[in-house]
Amino acid sequence: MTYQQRIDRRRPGCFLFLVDQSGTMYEPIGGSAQVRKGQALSDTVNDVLYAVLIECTKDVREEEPRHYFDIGVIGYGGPDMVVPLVGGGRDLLVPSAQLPRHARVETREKLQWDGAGYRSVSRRTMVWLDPVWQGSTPMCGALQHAHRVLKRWVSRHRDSFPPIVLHVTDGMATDGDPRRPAARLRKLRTADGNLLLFNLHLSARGEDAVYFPAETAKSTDPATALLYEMSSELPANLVEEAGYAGRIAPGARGFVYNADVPELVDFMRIGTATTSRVRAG
Amino acid sequence: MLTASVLSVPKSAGEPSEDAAALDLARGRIAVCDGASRALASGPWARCLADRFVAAPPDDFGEEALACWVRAAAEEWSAGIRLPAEAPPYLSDAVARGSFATLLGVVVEAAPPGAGSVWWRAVAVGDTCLVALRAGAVVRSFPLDGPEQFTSAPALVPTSAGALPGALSTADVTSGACGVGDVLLVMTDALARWALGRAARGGEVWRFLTEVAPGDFEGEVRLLWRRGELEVDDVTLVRCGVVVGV
Repeated sequence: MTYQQRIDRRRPGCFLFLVDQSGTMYEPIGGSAQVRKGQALSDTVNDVLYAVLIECTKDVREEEPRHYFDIGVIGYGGPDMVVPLVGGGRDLLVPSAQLPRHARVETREKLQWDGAGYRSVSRRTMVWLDPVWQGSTPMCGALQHAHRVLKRWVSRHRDSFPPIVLHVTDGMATDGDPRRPAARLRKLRTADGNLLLFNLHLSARGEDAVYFPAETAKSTDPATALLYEMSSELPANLVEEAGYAGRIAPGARGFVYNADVPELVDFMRIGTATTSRVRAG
Repeated sequence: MLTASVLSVPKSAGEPSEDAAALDLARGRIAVCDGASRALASGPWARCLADRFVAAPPDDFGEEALACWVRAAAEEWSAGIRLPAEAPPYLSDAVARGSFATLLGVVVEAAPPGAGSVWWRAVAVGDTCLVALRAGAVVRSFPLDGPEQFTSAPALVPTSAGALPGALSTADVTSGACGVGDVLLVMTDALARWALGRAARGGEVWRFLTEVAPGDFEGEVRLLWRRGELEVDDVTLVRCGVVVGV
């Protein structure tokens, strides 16, 4: 049985975010003209990292959150730029215990539900990532970079739940066919299963999303088929742990096309559902 | 009259168990709680719930009385959390989100004179289980009765008042009677799941859990862990027997 391993400090999990920072991320998401794709993406990744930090907080008397996860954020844009956006040490992955050191604290306006409706409240939060949009889409380079980083990680964490790579893009690779480096990345494995590569495509046109499909539609355009092919099947227990059982068909791929903000949030929730597998220790 | 013993094994040597068991046999009260590993200070929250249940259980097991009782427990838990000055926002938000634990509480009461039995009623939120045995056979398994019913997201009692209404709507309540020689077993999820799975292949598992010597229990649990038969998690077993009809 694969994808069963619990997570603790001896067997940490791993999330790697691959973030498209190409020039088209300047466009508004979903055709709304209110929020740019790059802004929505950086806000969501910041929220996810913050949520992971809270999951790793067991005791307020401890100086740091616990090291339940190793986390990387790799941005790619033009020209041929593939860079770590959080940390950047030798391993390019940051233990969750050290995440606070790589953030700045900001007060931001957030919408909060107060029982009767949403209202804007000022909240202190932590920011790791700022929106960037520049140049081309070296997706192959980013996938190859991820392979180098995670090959080392899986060799050191044979008993851990395998790494989960959350890749968000808005376009096609400008440096070749990404299917080959994606397949090579998915071959990395721990004793608990192969690495999981999930892909999300952000839309600028507000078209209907292709939402975690179990098969490609016959009429699908080449870009959709390509990203579908690059994506791992979602383990059923991950879907259940994220609270999406019944909404996502068995055998669905970890893939969304033409995503707007709600689909982006769903994608991140499902992709980081292993936070519910933490066992203290 | 009741007799009882608590057997527990923490999942890792360097980490205190996040299970908590409390007994007040004179007043017929038993509570076992399992703190959610991923939550802040869940061991203290489980301990708070268990101790308060045996000291002063809810007036009844209806949702309103339970909510009132949990709110008072949550105030006690919160008072024990000391945020450092200049705490970073994630610490404040972790405290605001609060903690979570299962609750299995049993109150045993005297039956009418001459009935030769005791009555018990139990409340459960989550997957800590009570198994009532008579002559070595299961007469009640509560709130779950099969290994397939355990999930990775059991119902939990939260400290946060905002999360209470939804959480306590999942509370299960049951009652029963037992006589001299009957046994009540209360188990946290990993052990209960294993036992209910083994029971499908025969009743020896109940004899094992009823009779295993306290000094042998940890070794048996570790053996099951090594064999991969039992999930490596905190394990707590409370064995309660009726020795004289009340």
